[in-house]
Amino acid sequence: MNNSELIAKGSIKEIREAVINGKLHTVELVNCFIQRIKNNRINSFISLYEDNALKRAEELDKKLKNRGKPGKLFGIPYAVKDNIAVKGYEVTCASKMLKNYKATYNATVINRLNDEDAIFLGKTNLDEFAMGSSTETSYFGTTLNPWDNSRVPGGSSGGSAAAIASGESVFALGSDTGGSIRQPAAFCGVTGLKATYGCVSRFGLVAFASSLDQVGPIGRSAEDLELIFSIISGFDKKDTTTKRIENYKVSGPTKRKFNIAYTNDIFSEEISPDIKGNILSILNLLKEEGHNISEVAFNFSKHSVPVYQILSCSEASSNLARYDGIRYGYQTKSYKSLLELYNRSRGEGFGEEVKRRILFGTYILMAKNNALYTSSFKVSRLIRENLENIFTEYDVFITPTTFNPPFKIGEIIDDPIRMHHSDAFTSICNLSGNPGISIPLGLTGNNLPIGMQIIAKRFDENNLFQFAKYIQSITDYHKCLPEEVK
Amino acid sequence: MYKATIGIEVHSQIKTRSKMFCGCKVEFLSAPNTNICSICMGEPGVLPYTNEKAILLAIRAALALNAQINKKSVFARKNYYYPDLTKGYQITQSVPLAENGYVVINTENGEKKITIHRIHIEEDTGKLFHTNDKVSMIDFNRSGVPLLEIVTDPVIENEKEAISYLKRLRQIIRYIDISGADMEKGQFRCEPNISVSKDNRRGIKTEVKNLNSLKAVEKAIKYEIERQITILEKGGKIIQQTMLWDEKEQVTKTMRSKEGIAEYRYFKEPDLIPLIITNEMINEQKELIPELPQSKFNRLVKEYNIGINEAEILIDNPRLSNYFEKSIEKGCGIKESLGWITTDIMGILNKSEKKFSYLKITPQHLADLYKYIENKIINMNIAKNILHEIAFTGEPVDKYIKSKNLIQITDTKSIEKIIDEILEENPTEVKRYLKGNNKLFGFFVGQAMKKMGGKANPTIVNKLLKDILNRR
Ligand SMILES: [Zn+2]
Repeated sequence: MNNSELIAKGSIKEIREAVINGKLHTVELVNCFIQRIKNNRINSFISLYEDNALKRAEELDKKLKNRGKPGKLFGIPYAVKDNIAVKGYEVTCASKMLKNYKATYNATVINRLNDEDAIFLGKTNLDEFAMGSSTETSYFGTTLNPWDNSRVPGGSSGGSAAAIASGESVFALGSDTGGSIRQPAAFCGVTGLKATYGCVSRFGLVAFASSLDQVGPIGRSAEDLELIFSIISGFDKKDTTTKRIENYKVSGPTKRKFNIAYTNDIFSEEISPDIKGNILSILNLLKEEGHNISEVAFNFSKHSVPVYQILSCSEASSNLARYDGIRYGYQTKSYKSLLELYNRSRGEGFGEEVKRRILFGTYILMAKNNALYTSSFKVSRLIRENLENIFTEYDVFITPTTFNPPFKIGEIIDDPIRMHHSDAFTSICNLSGNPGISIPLGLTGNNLPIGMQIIAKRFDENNLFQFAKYIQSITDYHKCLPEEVK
Repeated sequence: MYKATIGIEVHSQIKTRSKMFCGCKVEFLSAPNTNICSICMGEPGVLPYTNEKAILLAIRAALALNAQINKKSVFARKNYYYPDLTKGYQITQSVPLAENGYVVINTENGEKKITIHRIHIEEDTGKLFHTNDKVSMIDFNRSGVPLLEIVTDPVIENEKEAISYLKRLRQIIRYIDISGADMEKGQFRCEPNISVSKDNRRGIKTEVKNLNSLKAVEKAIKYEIERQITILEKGGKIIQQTMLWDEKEQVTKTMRSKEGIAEYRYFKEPDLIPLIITNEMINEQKELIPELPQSKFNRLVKEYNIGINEAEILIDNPRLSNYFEKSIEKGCGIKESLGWITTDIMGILNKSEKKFSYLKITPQHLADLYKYIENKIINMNIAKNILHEIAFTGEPVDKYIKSKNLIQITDTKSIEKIIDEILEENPTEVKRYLKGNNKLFGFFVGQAMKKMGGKANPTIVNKLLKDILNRR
């Protein structure tokens, strides 16, 4: 591979080695990505911190000269969804509310990446406060899908997924509350992970729905994501919901035969024929390779969206209460009373979708609606039990990531019910806490990316990665790039 | 006959070095907004983490209040908007740390158990200052300070019981050293709810806020009971509402009625895992609980045969009762020690506005003074004077008496000489006395004592004076 191929397609391991061996200078590498970001027309970044990234690259080059021990992500540039705090830089959440708000501390995940010598490039676009499936609700405008600029990149981590697909970063952080990493990964033809709830610290992630949110990586391959996961996961005393588990060790190659379950949802009429076709063909391939494939009746895809909406909006209504225009963030120009200060600051600072969800969540949490809230908890408990059952027999459970390939910008933005419906398969993992990864599964007839979701047992990322890496070792789907990037 | 039913909610700060969910200092004298961080300011993306010390102290309190501790309690959010609340919700508990406790108080009819419904941990809010009509300022130093909420059942019948309960509760909190429980500093806040009824059904209750002293609590409850009875007597109805005590006008005023009672939209706090309390934590705290006020009260009364009022004074401050017991142990007389402590020492401290810890007189001093009195070397008045003189110097009694030449004059010859002298100097009074004005006897005693610098043994002076006058 020459340097430009390496930069466009190389794995983290390959790029790091080239940098350490002096084949590629860190500054040169970072510059290359900065140029790509600057030239892009897809609005994937909200902010780019060029000077900081180059300064950091120079420091690393110096460190190398002085024979310092290179970290596991030495010289690797990364982008961060703009709802994760990086000290001293704006964290806008793509909202007018936090347009000029600067973080006063680093998210735990950022510290962990920087400790391994990764280089922070800038912040990527998202749906406002991560509420959306298309990046269309961003205060800073929609991100375009690199494969077809008339289409959405998915959401809410649309900027991060689009940045990876268009070669603007080696990997990016996203956040996933109901599918916000996996759905855009599928729409942009890249790989995205939502780990088991409790594996990755949420400290520094601006909360949407605390009991469902997880930070996770989006990248070029399952192999890259596993490395990132091994670095960002683990107990954090600043997040009491993280589990005290052993440090994750990257899995080795395997020749084992997998027990694979796939959902009967594949045959649903709602699934686009391209997605159904590609999943069935990979299942066939796996069967030919000697793996055990079984169809499983999974009856929760119809219930996941309403339950997810109830739980996530309830928590969101409380999590977003702190934006009151008093201590930081947007404050209305004039007000005559405290109530007016609240009403105007929040009314003017939040966008439509955010307000819709706050109102819905506020309504659900009222004492008289308690039954709705508690029964939703029961349903998510049932989903978890059902998955647990599946994993007593199978190693992995396969579903489509989405029903359809990426839709047109503006196509369903005014139809919230349809928009929310696109979370059906992904939100299952958030409700149950299970890890899920979306890997690219080729293209439709129209050259649009397709994704497949792999779910594993809770806290069994090892199995998940082993299987995902195995698929990527027998296929080339993850190496497909949009025309422009090639 | 109307019967009042009262329940009380107490918020007591828990004395920790740092806040409940972040590492900020708890310090009340700091300049505004200096003990704050991204967590207690509710900045985007932060998460709370629990202060273990606060939890241990809360366990200690629950044990001292005879409550059952829940091995698993759950944090919850109470959602409402107010400028002193940084997150738009307060972290409290839905499943409380402990339940079903009690405090024993003394009433006119003997001991009474005030049962406690629940005890839970929560965080304090910031403080709002209204400077004038247009400007309000917020100090967030208090934001996130740990609080213990202690809620009684509605079993209190009048303001006297309420005060006894609050005093006893405050004593317990101080005994186990979890808070200074100073009402003026806002470390101990009470909100009684009050209803009246002619039968056993509970009437509609009102809650009273803004009570900054026990006096205010007492007056407000009394006022509220009378207000409710007056309304009912006129055929009116009580409205469920929150009242504010107006200290200036000494009345309760409506703060908000039921229609205005906020919908708090409680739900489980997703940022905190349930609180798990282990047997080790409980046992460790049990060890740290000293003898509590009510047992101490009963023991002092029984062991030393002292009065109820004096026992109450002694137990109010555990250091005082320890001091008393130490002095007895060192050999001081019970009556003398009690008198010196409850009148002289307390008087000295009150007058000088100094804390007990500044006092330099030790139980040994009391025992020494007692010895001098028993041996008739000094008299009680001299002893009291000595206490005042050495209160903040702590000079040994022996040394002080010697240096000031205070040894009692018991030598009859010298006393007789002095008596002769004063009788000589006051011939008119002597005449009047001899004519039957017995009241003048005290005058002669006083004159003689004065002449001897108060050092004479008063018994001897009395006896000799009587003898000499009788001879005339
Ligand atoms: Zn703090």
